[in-house]
Amino acid sequence: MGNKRNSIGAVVVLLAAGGFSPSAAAEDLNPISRMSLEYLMNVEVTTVSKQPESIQNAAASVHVLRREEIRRAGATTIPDALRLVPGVNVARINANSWAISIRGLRSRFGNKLLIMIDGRSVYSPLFSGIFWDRNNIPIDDIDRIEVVRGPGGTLWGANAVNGVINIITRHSGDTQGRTVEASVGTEERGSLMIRQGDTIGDTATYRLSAEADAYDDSRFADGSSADDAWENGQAHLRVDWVPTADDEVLFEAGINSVAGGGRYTAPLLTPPYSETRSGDVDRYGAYMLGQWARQINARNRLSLQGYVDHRYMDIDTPIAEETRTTSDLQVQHDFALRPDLDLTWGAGYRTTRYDVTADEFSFVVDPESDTFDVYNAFIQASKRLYDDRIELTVGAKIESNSISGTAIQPSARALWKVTPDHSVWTSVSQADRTPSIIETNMELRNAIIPPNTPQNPTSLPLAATITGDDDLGSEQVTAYEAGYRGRISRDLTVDLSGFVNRYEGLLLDTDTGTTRLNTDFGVPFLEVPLTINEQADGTVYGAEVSASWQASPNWQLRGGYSWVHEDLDAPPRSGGNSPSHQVSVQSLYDISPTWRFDTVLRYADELENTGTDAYVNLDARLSWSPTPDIELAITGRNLLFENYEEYGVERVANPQPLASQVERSLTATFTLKF
Amino acid sequence: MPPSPVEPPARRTPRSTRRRLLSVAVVCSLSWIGIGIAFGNLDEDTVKAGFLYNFAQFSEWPKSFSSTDPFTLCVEDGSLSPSVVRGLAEEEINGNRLSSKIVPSPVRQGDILACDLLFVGDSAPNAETIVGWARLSPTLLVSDREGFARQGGHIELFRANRNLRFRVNLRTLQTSGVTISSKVLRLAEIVQ
Repeated sequence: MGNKRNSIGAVVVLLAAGGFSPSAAAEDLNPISRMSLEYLMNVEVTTVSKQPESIQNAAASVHVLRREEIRRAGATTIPDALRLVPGVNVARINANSWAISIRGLRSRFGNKLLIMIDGRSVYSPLFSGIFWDRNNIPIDDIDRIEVVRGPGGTLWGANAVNGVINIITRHSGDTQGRTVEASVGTEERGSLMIRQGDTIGDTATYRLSAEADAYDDSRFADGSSADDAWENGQAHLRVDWVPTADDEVLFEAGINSVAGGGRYTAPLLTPPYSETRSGDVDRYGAYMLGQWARQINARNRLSLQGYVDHRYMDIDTPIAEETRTTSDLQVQHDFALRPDLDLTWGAGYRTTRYDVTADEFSFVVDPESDTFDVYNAFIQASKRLYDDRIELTVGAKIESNSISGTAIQPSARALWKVTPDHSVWTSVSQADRTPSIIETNMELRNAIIPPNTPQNPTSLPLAATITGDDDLGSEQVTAYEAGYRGRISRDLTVDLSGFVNRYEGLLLDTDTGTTRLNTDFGVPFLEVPLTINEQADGTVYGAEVSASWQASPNWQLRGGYSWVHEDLDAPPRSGGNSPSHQVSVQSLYDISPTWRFDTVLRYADELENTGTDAYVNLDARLSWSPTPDIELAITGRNLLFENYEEYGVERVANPQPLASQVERSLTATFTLKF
Repeated sequence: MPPSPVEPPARRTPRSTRRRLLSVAVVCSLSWIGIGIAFGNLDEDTVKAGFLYNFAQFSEWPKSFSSTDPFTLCVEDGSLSPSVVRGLAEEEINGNRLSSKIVPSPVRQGDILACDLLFVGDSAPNAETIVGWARLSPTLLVSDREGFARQGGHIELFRANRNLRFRVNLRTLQTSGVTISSKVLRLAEIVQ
């Protein structure tokens, strides 16, 4: 029967012949008669069981957040969805800014995560971090979010230091027909998403989605507005095409705009030397991505991916504009060298051009325009031993960039499937983070010490100037990890992992230079250059636990706990922005086939550095779906408190928006498919 | 009622192509991350066989099976992998031996009469005819063909993301004389 049989028939034959895949083992243990309907409805079906391993077989700390969980948590932004992942620490700073980390070292300018949307890296090389507001995509277009806690440099390259967040959108064949989703609420003022999906001839499908959202201002503890209302508009196209039985093509394109703002503490060279002011933020972006993959045979696949991503940003505090264009090309080849030995190798090239116009003494970029290139090549081999019960994976990526030179990011992983339902794994890996543009090419003056004060007895204002250094090398982590994953019963699965990360060359410390007179900005002032150095290092260790329990056919509980401890040899206030303990429990309850009631209970420990209190909070969602094409939902977020803070001021030197309070909110959502 | 999003109108891509597209999506996205991830996954045919077994286990047929009668589960040629069909033959249904057999495609009327449960392939050339024939025969019809339940088939397996779900046409099921346990029905999407 055509394509399907031809393509997966071979795999089935291999499986039947004693095979290599997890499916084969699972079949032995799960004769068909032992699989309940509930189990079958929850198991994920795979049509090809080659390189893509099941989570059970990944020798890494991996968590998958599925569409159903995201939707039923009532998440409207990616940061809200990430709150459901054990070990991901999410704090909202104000209505449009978040500080998100995995395994510690959190900051608004957190720089140790790699975030990808369908293989397109979206972190900003400006500060090696993410502007979360500008990378929203319609939540209902997301198929799943895969989170790898721990380094992923061997496969993904620089910046995958503490983790990788991979956002995967739905296949356009899954979103055919028309969908309209509209929301109104107290904080998310309004949202409208429209989507159209159809076929193109016999071999392709497409989806076109457009969404506009408007969010309300948040407030400070004194009741004043944080001036951080924001609006977000976006449109995305996805085309999936199967030109031949062996070729697959994906094309994506999109545009987005964000208009937001916030209140910031800005330094002044004249009295009162600092002021709190409101600043607008405007961001625009456009991208195009193409992927082509050829299935040469059941265990041999060649893929090619390229994208161009163009972004523009205009911020008021500090006053600056940034234009950046990234072009990226990668090739990857997965194949079986022998029945028990899989190889993956690939290479890539990325070029990024930026132009930054900074217009204020507090922020200077030199050079204002630059282009940097990154070349990489990687290879990874996986060998299975002892009836596939042991799997050893070793690999390395060599990456050469025009900022910090050449680095090798190796990893070694071992997995032991003690039984098909219980496995343990361990790994050692290294990953690098390339210094950001801020760390190499910029001067930041974010605090002025007024004249004639004890700290500054002179008669001129004194600035601490944080100065980049283009000789800086990459930060490096060596991570030691181990974990256990088990299916305790048909209804209960558990995942444990522990890690020790040793960091070297953290770009957290500075060398103090000689005080000098600066007359470049009209008002003469004294400045102490603080040049970023590579002297800081540290150790961070911790653990994550997650579990999923099908309590009854209509009730599922998923929960996670994470613990992280930072031990940094770095200046005070460098760390302490991550909660030591964090818990989340999601309950998915089907009251009846048409009514559902879902809750998320969250706890985050206090933040030592910002002085933010620990909190417990609750989100709840009630939905009614009289037919599969209609859904009405009411979502209440942060129900336990009228308002509270999730974050605070990290360091005076960081030009982050002032942290405001997170408020209780209600949102009503109507979804119609037609 | 507007058409269900998972049961699209006829202008759509043929089922086999669409499924191909789906599998492509899974592989495409996974190949870029190196470790593909899914909690507990099984190949699709094994999962479908599991559903068939459960449907047989939790249904009642108007005829009475004597202890030596086999329960006959038929699979249209090409719709499920032969090894999975063979695996089914090792099972029992409520004390009766399960006899699984592959029937040639296209399915003939005589085959239906000989089967207690028939799995019709998603590209069966004569699915509507089969549904018509089965009206007069206590044979439970299951298929992963799109729109099968709406066309009068008894149970349709369909894909929701990476999971399989099923919908039941209660009206035609009733005329066939086969009854399905409420344990199964409460997990089903019902087509009137």
